[in-house]
Amino acid sequence: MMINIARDFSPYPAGRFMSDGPGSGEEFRDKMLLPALEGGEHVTVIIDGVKGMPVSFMEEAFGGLIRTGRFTYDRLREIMTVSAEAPQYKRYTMMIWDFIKAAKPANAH
Amino acid sequence: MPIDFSSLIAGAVGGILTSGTVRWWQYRRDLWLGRVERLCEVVEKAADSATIYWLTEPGKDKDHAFKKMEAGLLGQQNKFDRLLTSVQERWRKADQDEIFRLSASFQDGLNGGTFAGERKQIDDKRARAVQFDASELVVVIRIASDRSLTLWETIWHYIRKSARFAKAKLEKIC
Repeated sequence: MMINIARDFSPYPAGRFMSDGPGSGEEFRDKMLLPALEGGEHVTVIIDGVKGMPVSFMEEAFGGLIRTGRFTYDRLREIMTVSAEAPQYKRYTMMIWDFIKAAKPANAH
Repeated sequence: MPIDFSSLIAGAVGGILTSGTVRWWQYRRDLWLGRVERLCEVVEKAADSATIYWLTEPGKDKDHAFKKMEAGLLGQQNKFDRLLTSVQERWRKADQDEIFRLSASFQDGLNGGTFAGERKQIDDKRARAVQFDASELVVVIRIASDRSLTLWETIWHYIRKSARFAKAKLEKIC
């Protein structure tokens, strides 16, 4: 399954939480990413084409997957690919995996 | 003594080719260094904009000026991304990795945390961090750029570039 952030969600990703307004990382995670990942198919997230990629959005959308407690870094590596064709976005794919690696489950002490 | 015209012509052609190659290399080098300079300027300007952003309390319902600051920071982030992409291939791999690591931290200072959030607050730690990361990034970029202009690195760069070009051409043919 493919999710193109610009086409399927918003070309203007912005903010961290839903209370911040439309296009937040939390909204993307809860409404698009989590249902897709729990559907059992391999998910490819394409980040080309967005008009700006705030770090707050990326961290909440992807790092937040770990905080839900439903996935581990290794499991996400198996079931999800983050992809970018445009060279200026390629670095973001690495950043996203770094956020996932750095995030801790919400109930972890 | 008779004039050997063939040697004369060969010498002239050799001279023109050599000086042409050197001038072409100088032109490409200056072009690249110009982009590196521009990249450093963008880093510094973006850090200053981010510092103002993180030290400003948003007005009620986030006023126009505040939204303008957020849009400006995203624009500067894009400029940074495009310029970085246009110069990075000439740096050594280890320098690239170091610059990418610092860039991630720098960009977190630009628009991480509560950026564009309703709960955005004054964040003096982030304001200080973004200036620190920017200064570190600029120094590392300059050192990496100096290092990439040694004779050996220049030759190595053009070998890599030619190999990539040949590979792309071969892939098109096959």
